[in-house]
Amino acid sequence: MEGLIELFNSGFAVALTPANLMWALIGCTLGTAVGVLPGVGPAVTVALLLPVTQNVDPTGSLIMFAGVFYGAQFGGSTTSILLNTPGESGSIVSALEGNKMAKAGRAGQALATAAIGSFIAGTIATVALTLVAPFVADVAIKLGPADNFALMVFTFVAVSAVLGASPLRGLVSLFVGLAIGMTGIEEQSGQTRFTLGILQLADGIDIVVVVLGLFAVGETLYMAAYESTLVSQVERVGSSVRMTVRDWARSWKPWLRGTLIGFPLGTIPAGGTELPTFLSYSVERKLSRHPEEFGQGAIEGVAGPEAANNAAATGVLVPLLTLGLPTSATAAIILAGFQQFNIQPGPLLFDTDPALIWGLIASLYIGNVMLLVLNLPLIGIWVRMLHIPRPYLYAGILIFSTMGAYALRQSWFDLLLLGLVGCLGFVMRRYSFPVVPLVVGLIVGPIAEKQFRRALSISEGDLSVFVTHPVSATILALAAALVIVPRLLRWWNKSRTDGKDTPHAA
Amino acid sequence: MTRVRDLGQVLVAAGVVASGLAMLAQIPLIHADAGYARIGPRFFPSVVAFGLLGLGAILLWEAWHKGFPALEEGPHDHQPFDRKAVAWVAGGLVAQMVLIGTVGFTLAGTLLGTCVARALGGRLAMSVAAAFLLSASIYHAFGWLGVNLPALVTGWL
Repeated sequence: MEGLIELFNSGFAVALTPANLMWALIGCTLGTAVGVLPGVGPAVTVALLLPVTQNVDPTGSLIMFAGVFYGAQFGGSTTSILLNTPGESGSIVSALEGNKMAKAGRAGQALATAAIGSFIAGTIATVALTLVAPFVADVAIKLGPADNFALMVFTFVAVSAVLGASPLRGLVSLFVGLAIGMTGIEEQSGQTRFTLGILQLADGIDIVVVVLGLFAVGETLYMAAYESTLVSQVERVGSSVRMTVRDWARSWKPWLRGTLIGFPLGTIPAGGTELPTFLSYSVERKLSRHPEEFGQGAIEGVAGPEAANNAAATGVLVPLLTLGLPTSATAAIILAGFQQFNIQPGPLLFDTDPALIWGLIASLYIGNVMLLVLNLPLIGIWVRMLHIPRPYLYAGILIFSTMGAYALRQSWFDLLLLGLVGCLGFVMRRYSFPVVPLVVGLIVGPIAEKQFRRALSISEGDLSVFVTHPVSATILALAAALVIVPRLLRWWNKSRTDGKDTPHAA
Repeated sequence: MTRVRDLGQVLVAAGVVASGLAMLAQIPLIHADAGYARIGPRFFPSVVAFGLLGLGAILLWEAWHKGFPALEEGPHDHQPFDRKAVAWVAGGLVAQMVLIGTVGFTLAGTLLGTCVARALGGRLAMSVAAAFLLSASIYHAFGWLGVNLPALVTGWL
């Protein structure tokens, strides 16, 4: 309730100023655009916007970043439905059913159920965020450095070892990120680390360079290496973007179920929006009265996952705003956006700058309405963007990326780093290393180190604080369980089914 | 199930091990006297270096004995590596890095964009035109937003 009072007292007053409405609109528009365009995501976009927003007021720029983050979830569904190439990792599932619907001439219905479902899920999830965030912040403010460190370890484990095909590759990615994050001058002692005597490295490697390198340059190199001749097929929207009564009847339950699945999974640091969409998809397939349609273009298979996707995206904001913990690549770069203004998101921010926090949350409600308008009546504009030929699209992405990297310090050295990180991104893409752990490790690593050393200076160097404090001990135990339990279950299942020759043990 | 050992996987895993070793070699160069008590600025780097080393070793074992599990399928499974296209992109990036200071963002960006578009099969004239238009617009738009990019003729190109 506390949240609702704050929201109406200060939040909407901030979000409804003309300037902030404009930032929200710019953010939502850009977000939809990058969500639609394959090859550029919200993380890259926010990274490119960071140098531009240095002179903008913090609330306005953060509202814009949130708009990009949200808009990309909406736009991504358009691409997956019409192009069968998911524009966003969270819309892989809707590519399955949505594209089939489009091929059958029902693109309009697929787009409508995705957009309306995203709107409903986004709004419900934002209400949940409003109610939950102050509560979590109240709890979080009581946490000491040891507990905070334990939470960060939990996040590391969750983003790298829980999701994805291989926990080992996830952990490698995390450690590479931690290593990159350590480069440069260490804040507490003022010592330089891993600079190889190169002066430019003393400032560290900027997260903007890493995100642009991994996502934009790496992706372009991958395209050049393996898909230089690919021509993609854009489906026609056909009639109108409208749903029949029957479509509504089949969509509303999946929307609500998707929201229920998406929001809680988004709040726990389990790596973004992919898991909830897959879960929602399998739930809808089980519950559907038309299971035979799944795989041929079932509307439930678009409605549920799209709702789950958006609700999860909102859920990701809970740990980001209340604990300062990013659990997706975009959340990590938004955290860098906060840091650019010397703001550290976390429980304290609810007390020190409530106008910013609640203005940001209020802008999410407004952004959802804007996105519904941008994505239903104006869908034609976005569909035309899909027709940009890939050679020019990727040329543009790289020109933008080099601009973003160069603008940081006006130095060619950042372009060199950009290229090197791009090669890393290519290798990671080629051998299926997840990149989210790297980005999260890069930005949370230095914070974790600070908390670790603060905890030890309170305990006078006694390492046992982490296990004698009940809260941090519990969190660390949970983190350990995250790694061990799935393995035990798999091992147990395997030993039970051994001899029955089940190839699906993995 | 037998599979052909993938040289790429072995190299990637070896790279992780090598990074761990390289980090370890750097740790003595960090001045440790400034840190608090036992935990100074060397502690975390050591944890990460040993972590990379250990994880890299397991990865190497995996690559050597059974190959990485659960790899994502993708075009790399059935398409040959297109060296020419990659060389175009890489060349464009290097050219941009070398030239941006002297010929300015717009022209260096045009060159980069042209190389990338060529790599992905764009027509030459169209690539040059599109890359120039976009680079020039970025230069002016972001200049207006307060981001200064290098130019050949300040304010114009």
